[in-house]
Amino acid sequence: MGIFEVFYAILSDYQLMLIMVLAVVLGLLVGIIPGLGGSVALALLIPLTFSLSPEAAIVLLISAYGTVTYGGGITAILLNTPGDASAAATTFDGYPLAKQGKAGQAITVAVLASALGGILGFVVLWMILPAARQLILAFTYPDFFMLAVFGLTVIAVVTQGNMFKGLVSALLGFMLAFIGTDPIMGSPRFTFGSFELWDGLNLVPVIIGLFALTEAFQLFYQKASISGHYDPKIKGIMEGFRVFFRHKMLFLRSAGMGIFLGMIPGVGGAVAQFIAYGSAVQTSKTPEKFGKGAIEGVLAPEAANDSKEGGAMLPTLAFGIPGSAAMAVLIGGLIMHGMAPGPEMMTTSLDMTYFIIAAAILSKIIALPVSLMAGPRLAIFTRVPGTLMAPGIVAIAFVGAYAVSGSYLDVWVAFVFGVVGICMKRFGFSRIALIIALVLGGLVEQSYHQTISAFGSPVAFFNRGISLTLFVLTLLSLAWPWIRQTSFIRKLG
Amino acid sequence: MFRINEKAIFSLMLCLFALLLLFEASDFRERAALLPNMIGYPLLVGSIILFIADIFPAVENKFKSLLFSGVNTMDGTAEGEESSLRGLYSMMLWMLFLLGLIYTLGVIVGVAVALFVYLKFMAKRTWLMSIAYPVIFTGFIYVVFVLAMDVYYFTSPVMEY
Repeated sequence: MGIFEVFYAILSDYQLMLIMVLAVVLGLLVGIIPGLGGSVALALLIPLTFSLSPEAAIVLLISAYGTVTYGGGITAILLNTPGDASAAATTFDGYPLAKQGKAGQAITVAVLASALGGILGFVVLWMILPAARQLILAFTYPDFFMLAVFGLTVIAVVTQGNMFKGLVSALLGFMLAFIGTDPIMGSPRFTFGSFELWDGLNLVPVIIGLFALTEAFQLFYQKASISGHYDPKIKGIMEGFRVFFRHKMLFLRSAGMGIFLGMIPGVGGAVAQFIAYGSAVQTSKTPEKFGKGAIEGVLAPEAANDSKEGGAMLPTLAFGIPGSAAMAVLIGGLIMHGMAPGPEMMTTSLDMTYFIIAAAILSKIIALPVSLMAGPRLAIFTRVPGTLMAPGIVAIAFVGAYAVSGSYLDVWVAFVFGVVGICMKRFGFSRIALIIALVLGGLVEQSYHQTISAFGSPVAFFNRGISLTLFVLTLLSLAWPWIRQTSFIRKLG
Repeated sequence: MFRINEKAIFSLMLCLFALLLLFEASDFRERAALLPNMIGYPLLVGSIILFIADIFPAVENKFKSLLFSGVNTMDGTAEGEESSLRGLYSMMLWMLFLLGLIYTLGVIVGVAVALFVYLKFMAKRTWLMSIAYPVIFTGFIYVVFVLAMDVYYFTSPVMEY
């Protein structure tokens, strides 16, 4: 089935379209509430999908995740409060524009840039899939092993400034991935007598604990509401459209940057946003206007922030390597519905990959009018104090963890990882490194033993072009923080 | 100079967890234990280094630029975040209370009671808010999970016996 047939299949199924609209509103709401980013939205929504078909689950998760950034941009403009870090750059010019009475224009430009940037990102992903498919078909066991190791080191290294704790977090995630039955003899490992652990740690409660519960703790500290006064009735939408199309080249350049940066595992939306913002300042004829209400300062970061999603899907779907926390959570959701992110998504499950792309594009289109109409009104939720939101999130997180398989152990797992998550957050460890290691640990061990069985010795990791290249990239990414700090590089700079 | 704080306790827990897993792995067959040992020993060493740095501030300061600098990570993690520990512990206790209620009373009733206790006695909200919030919230959970998704196991694990 080609992608256009998938578009038709989704559009002609009213249930899928209804789920998509609901998910868009949910995503918008989550994005508007500061502290709850895409990963939390996915963590809380995954349990809701377990009785849905894989297609309906994908529509729900992808649509909600894709709309979170819209909500973050709206509160960044109206309230000077980004929904999460990836909308931070939008506040620089968005809020000054709102104070000048141009909130409607700024929101229109932000939502248009998000929607069209996101669509462009997924179109590019669709176009490069054949090349990725060719590459993935050339992979064998040692290549997959090195790829997983490379994915791990990249994520650990991008925990900037805290690489040591990032690596310890990844090692912890790895050890947790070994819980279950060993892949050689099938005997239980680290199960401590619990039959429920024979299949390993259930990823969904771990994700719920590490992300949703940890953020709920954060909200609990926030005793007062964060919102100031603002006018939910926005004007200047048509002017926003005109302004957006006047800056189409800036949009294309920013979206291009976002797509490229998204493909690099570990480069989050915040990085893409700030690079696009910096580039917009550098190339502007009126750089002095930035920070005081330049519409380009809203357009560039929003375009980059959403277009990077298409790029980030490439390593996630093609190689099973999540480039961000949200992508790691998404992998958990896909696994729960019987999909295996990695080579399968490029071969036997290619239809599902097309389905994900089509659902993402359609949800971006639907999110455009919904965000413009409902977004500013939904920002009223920022007036709810964190102490009221926190218990609701904790309760829904526990209910979700329990609902996945009806196991009381899963609720305990969510609680334990909630406590671990808050400790990691407070003491500078990386939850992303842990969750990615947990996701990739199985692949590493399996491909290691397959390589030894098939090739006879570990030399196979180093005498093949792909695995050797990945090994060199692994060493480089590990050494990069130190290389960057050396006087040699400083002199070059 | 020697100090014990929560950070040190967390690092110590990491050490003990790594030790426990390595002890377990000593009973595994050679190939099944290979990767757990390859990962477990570096984890043990890393967590011991962190523990030493946590209990001896001089060690932490000496190697700070190399190993422990507290720049924010991509998941918003930052060391030394100011937060009320009393709030943290009371929230954790409330979560344990909720877990206990889910076990004894089932999901729907347990969540309703836990939310009421939180709102009335911890957040000091009005009676109206303390009753309306749990009723609406659990009503939503009942409609979504029990009616729409046919989740049949929201009864108490204890009461099933």
